[in-house]
Amino acid sequence: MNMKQRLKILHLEDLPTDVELVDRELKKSGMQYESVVVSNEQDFSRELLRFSPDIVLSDHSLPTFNSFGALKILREQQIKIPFILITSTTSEEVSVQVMKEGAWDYILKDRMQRLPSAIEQAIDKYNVRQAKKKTESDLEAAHHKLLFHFENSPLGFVEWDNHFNVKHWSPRAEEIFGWTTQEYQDLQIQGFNAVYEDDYPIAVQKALELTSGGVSSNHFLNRANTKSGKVIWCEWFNSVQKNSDGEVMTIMSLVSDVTEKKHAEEKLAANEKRFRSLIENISDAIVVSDADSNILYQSPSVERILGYSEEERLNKSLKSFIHPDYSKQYAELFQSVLKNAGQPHPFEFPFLHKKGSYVWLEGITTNLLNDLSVNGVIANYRDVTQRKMLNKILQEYNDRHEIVSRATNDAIWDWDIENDFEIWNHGTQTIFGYNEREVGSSRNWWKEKLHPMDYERVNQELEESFKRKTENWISQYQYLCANGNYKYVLDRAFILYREDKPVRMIGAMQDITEQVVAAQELRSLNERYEIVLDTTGDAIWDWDLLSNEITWGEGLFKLFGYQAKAAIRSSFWFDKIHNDDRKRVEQLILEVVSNSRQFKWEDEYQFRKSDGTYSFVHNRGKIVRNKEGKATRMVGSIQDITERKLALEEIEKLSLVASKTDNIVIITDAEKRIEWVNESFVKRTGYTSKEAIGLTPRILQGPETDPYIVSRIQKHLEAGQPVIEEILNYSKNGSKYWLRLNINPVFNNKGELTKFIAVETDITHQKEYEANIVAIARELTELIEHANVPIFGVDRNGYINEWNKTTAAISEYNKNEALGKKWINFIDPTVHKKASQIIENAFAGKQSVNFELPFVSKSGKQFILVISISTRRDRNKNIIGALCVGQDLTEVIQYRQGLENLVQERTLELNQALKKEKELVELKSKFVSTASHEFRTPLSTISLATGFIRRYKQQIVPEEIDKKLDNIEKQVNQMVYLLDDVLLVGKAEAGKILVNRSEIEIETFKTLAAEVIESKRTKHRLHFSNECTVSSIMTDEKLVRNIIINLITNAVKFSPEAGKIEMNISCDLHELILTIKDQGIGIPEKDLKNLFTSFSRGSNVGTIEGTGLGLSIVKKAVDLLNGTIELKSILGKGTEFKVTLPLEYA
Amino acid sequence: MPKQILIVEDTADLRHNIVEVLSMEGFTVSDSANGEEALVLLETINPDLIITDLLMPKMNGFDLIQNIRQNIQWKNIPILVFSATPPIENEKRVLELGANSYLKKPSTLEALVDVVNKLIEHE
Repeated sequence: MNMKQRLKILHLEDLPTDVELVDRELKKSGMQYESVVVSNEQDFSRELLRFSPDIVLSDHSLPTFNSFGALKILREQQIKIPFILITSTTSEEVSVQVMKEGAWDYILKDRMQRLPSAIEQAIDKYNVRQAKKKTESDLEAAHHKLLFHFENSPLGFVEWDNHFNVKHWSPRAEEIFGWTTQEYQDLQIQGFNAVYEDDYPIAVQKALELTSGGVSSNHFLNRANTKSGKVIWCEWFNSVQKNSDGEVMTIMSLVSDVTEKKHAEEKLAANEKRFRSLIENISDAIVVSDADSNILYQSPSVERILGYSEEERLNKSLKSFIHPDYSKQYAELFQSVLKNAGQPHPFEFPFLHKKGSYVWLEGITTNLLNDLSVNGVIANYRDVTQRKMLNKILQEYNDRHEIVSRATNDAIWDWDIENDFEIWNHGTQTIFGYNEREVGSSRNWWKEKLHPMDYERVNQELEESFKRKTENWISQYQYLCANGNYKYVLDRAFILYREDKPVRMIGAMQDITEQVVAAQELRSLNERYEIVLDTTGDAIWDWDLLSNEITWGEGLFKLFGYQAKAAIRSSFWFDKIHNDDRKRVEQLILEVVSNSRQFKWEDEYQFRKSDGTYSFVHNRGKIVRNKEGKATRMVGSIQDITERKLALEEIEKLSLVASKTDNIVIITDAEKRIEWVNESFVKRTGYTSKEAIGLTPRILQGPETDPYIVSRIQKHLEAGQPVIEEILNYSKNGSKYWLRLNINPVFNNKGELTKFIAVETDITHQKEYEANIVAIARELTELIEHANVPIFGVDRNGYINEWNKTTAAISEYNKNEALGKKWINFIDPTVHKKASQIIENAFAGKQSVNFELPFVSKSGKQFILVISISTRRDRNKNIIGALCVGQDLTEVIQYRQGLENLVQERTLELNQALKKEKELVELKSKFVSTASHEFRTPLSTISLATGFIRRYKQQIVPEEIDKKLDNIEKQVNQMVYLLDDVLLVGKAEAGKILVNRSEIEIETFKTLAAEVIESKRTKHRLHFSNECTVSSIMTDEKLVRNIIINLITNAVKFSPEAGKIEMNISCDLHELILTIKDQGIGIPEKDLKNLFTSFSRGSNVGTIEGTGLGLSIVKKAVDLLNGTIELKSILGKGTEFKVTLPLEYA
Repeated sequence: MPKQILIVEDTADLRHNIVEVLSMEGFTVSDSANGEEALVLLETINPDLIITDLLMPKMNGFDLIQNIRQNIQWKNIPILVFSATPPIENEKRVLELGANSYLKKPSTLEALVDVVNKLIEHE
C-alpha cells in the first residue's frame, strides 16, 4: 500500500455527528483519504470486499452491530487490515477486550486529535507487516519451488549447513547413496557422502573452498561408499548460499552417479593404453605423421632400426630422412597416400640412419587422417637391408653363373638329385640340337639319350661314384642328338653331398666326337699295320755270292709278280731297285759282304714290281762265310712294307692334324714305352721327341697327380680297355697342366696287345672355369637353398625351376611337387591376371620389385609374398627365366589386419559404450524435459488459480474461491501421481519393491477402471466383462492397480477419438488374465522393441502428453508378479494388452 | 466495446482458469481445446488476441500459428504463445512462425495479464 495514494477508510458509525467529528479531525491533519460510512453488518461485509479499504474505523456499539462482529468478519475473511476502535466508552475492560479480538488501537472520542497519528502508525505497522509477510511467502515459495525441482530432478540434491552437516537430501540422493536423510544424519558424517578413502583429500579441499567462502560454486568427482557397500563415482555440482552479511549459510549440492560413465571412460583409457602398448611392443616400426609428413609419433622400434629417438625425429619431415635419390619417388607415393584415404600403399626406400648410413625399409603406409583414433598417416615398416643385400648377392651369383656358363660350348647341366630335377644351359641346343621345349627336367630324359651300348656302363659308373662318395665323376659315352645321330661325349661332373647323400650334381658335357674318331682311326691304322706285318708272305732268297746267282722262293711271284723258277743272276734283283736307292743298297751290301765280321745285312728300298709299280720293301739277309772269312753266300727275305709305310705316313699326317688342334699324340708299345710323339707333345711337355722315346708317360706325372686316377688308368690299360680320364701332368720345367686322356689299346691279328695310342687334350683352361662354375653353382645352390627367404625360379614358359627350402616350408609343397609345374598354379586365382602381368613384365626386361602376391599353400591356406623378380639371361642376353625372391608377408599382414581389427573392435566397443551412455543421458534429459512439461501444466493452473484468488478476492464470492482451491488441490494430486510414477520406476529399477499379497475382490478392478476413465472426463465408454470362476484373488493390490491404471490411462490417452475401451478379466485358481483393448492410434512395429523401456514413447504419439513411464511401470509390476504381458496392435485401429498373472494361494 | 480474446489450450483445467482470469479483467473470452477447433471458431469470431498452447492433440500450436498467419483475415491478430515447453527450444521458432510473444508456463497471473494488456494496447 502506498501512502501517497488516497487512503481508503471504511467507517462503521451510526451517528452522523461522530462521522463529522472524524472527518474534521482527519481533514485538519491534511490526510488524503476517501471514506465509506456503514452502519450495519450487511453493508460492512459488502463494502469490505467492494471498497477494499485500507483501514477500518469502528464505533464500538451500533444499533444492530458492534465492533466484535466487525472484527469477527475480518478474521473470517482473513482480511488483516488495521482496525481502530473509536469509542466514547471509557471502560478499560471493553477496550482491552476489543484489542484482544484483533483491534489495532483505540481512540476515545474526546481525544480525537490522536486519530491521524494513530492511523498513520497503524498503516505503517500494516505496511511493515505486509512487506515482511510478502518476503516470507516469496521466500517460502521460492524455496518450495527450488525444492520441488530438486526433489524431482534426476540428479540427487543435498543441502548442507555451513559445517557440512546434511540438512536434507532428495529421494534421488537417497537412491544414489542408499541412506535416508535421517540415517545419514545419525551417522554424523560431515562432508561429501561417505567418501572413498583415496579421494578424501580432494573432497576435503573442495569442501573447504566452499565453507571458507573462497568460491561460490565448484565441481568435482569422487568415489563414495553407498549404504550397501558399493563404491560409486559421484559428480558434484556445489553452490553456496550466503546471507546478507555474506556469511555462508547453506551449501547446495547436486550429485549424479556417474559410475557407468566413469567405467566407460576407464575402459576407453585402458583400451588406448592397451593399443599403445601393443604398438610399442611389436618389432615393426610404426610412424605416424601429419598430412605434411611431419612425424607425430614413432614406436620404440624405430630407434632400434634408425638410431633416432622419438624426440630427435618429432615434428621433423619424413622427407628429410629419405635417401635423396628417392625423394621424388617418395613425394609421389605420399601424394597418392593422401589422395587415397584408407588404402594401404607398400613402399621400399633407403632411410637415413643416425650414423649416416642408409637402411632399406620396407612397409606399408596408410592415410588414416580421417580415423579419429589415429588421425594421421600411419606407416609400419621393417628393416629389409639384409634381404636387399641378399637379393643383390643372388643377382651377382646368378650373373656370374650365367657368364661362366656362357663362356663354354659345353652342355652344362645341373641335376637336383633329391627332387630329380635337372636344368640345362644353352649347350644342349648348340651341341645336341634340342630346343627349350624339348629339354626335359628329369634325369630320365638324359638317360634315354644314352647309346644302348653305354647305357648300363654309364649308369653303373654313376652309382659307383655315389657309393664311393667321390666328388668328381667322368664318363665317356655316345649321346643321341635331336637329328638321330650319336655324338661322343665326355661328361665331367661335380657331385655335392649333404649328410653323405648326393643332393646335386653339376656337369659339363663336351663333344669329343672328333677326337674319338681320330683316335679310333689311328688305332685301326695301327692294327692294319700290324696285320700287314704279320700276314704278308716273305720273298725268300738265297744268293750264291761265288756264282752271283740268286735262287728265289715262291714269294717273289706272290709279292712282285716275277716268275723265277731257276737261279737268276743278281743283276735281275739290282735292276729292279729304284734308282734312288740302288747305289746306296749296292754300296751297303758291298761293305757288309767285304767285312769279314759282319754276318747280317738289312735295308729298305723301293723295288719295281712286274707291273712297273714300286713297293717299299724291307730286305734282310744272313751272310755265310768260309773259314777264311770270305762270304760265300747270303740268305734272306724281302718283305713288302708299302702298306706299313703308308700307314705310318698316315699317322704322321693325323699327328699333324692333332698337333694343329693342340691335341697331344703319344704312341707307346705294349710296355708303355714311348715310341712316337707329335709336335704338340714337345710344345706342351718341353721334352724333345728323342728325349721322350723310350720313356714311359709316367715321367709326366707329379706330386699333385691323383694316384687314384693313375691306378685307374693302369687298371684299364692292363685289361686292354680304352681309357678316358682327366689328369694333372707336369711339364719338364715343372709347370702343371690338365690333360684329358683318350687312350686306346692296339691289338695285332693274333689278338695280342702291341701298342697304345693316346690322344690328349690340354684342358687346363676348361678345368679352371669348371672349377669356377662349380664353386659358383655350389655357393648359389647353398645360398638359394638355405636362404631364410622364399626363393623360386621360373623359366621362360612359366615353369618352376627353383624352389628353395623356405618356399617349400611356407607353401607346404616340397620341391619335387613344385618343380616343372606352372608357377601361376601356386598363386591365388583371383590375381592370376596381375601375376601373369608381373612375370611378363620381368621377361620384357622391366625390373619388378615388391609385388604383393597372395599364394595358396598345399592345404589351401593363403599366404602373401612380396616378391622381387630378377631376370636370368643366356649368353646372347636373351631372357631365359626369372628368379623370384620373396618375403612372407602373411604374418605382417595378418598382424596388421589383427591390429586393424583390434582398433576397430576397440573403437566399436568404445562407441557402443559411449552410445549407450549418450542414449541414457538423452533419455534422462528427455525425461527431465517431458517431466518438467508435465509438471508445468498443473503448476500453471495452480499459479493462475492462486493469482485469481488474490487479485479478485473482493469481487468474487467465497464459493468461487472454494472452487479455485479444489482446482489447486486437484492439480497438486495430479503432480503427486506423476511424482509417484517417477519414484515407482526408480524404486522398481533399484529392486526396492516388495510384493505384498492380500485378498482382493475382482469387482474392485472394474470400479478402478471406471474411476480412471471418469477422471479423464472424456467420452470413452468402458465395456467390462468378468469371466472369473472366483470372486476374489490373492495378489498385490498396489501392483495390480498400477497395471490397470496405466493401461486404462493409455487406452484413453491414445484413442483421442474416444470410443470403446474393453476390459476383460478371467481367472481361475491358477491364473488371472486381464485384457484391455482400445480403438486408438496403435503402436508402430518399430517402437515395440523399446516399448517397455522407461522414458521411451511411441513415434506416433504426436502431442499427446506423457512421460514414457506408464508401460515401464506396467512391465515392472507384471515382472514382480511373475506374470507376462503381450500385445496386439494395429496401427490406426487400436491396441490390446493381455496380462497373465499366476496366482498363488497359501 | 470490450476486447475479445481466443484461448487455445488442451488442458481443460488450465483453459478454464485462463478464461476466468481474462473475463475478470474485462475481456470477452472464447476458448477451444486445440488448433483445429480454434480454426473453426475463428470463422465466427474476430478476436483481438489469440493465446495458444503448443503441444495439443489434433493440431498443435505451431501449425495453428502457421494457419493463422497464412490467412489474410487473421494474419494481423496478435498471438501469444503460452507453453510449458522450454523457451530455448521453441521461442525462436514460434516467433519466426509469426507469434508475437512467448510466455512460459507456469506464469503468475500478473505476468499473464501484463503481457495480454501490452499486446492488446499495442494493437
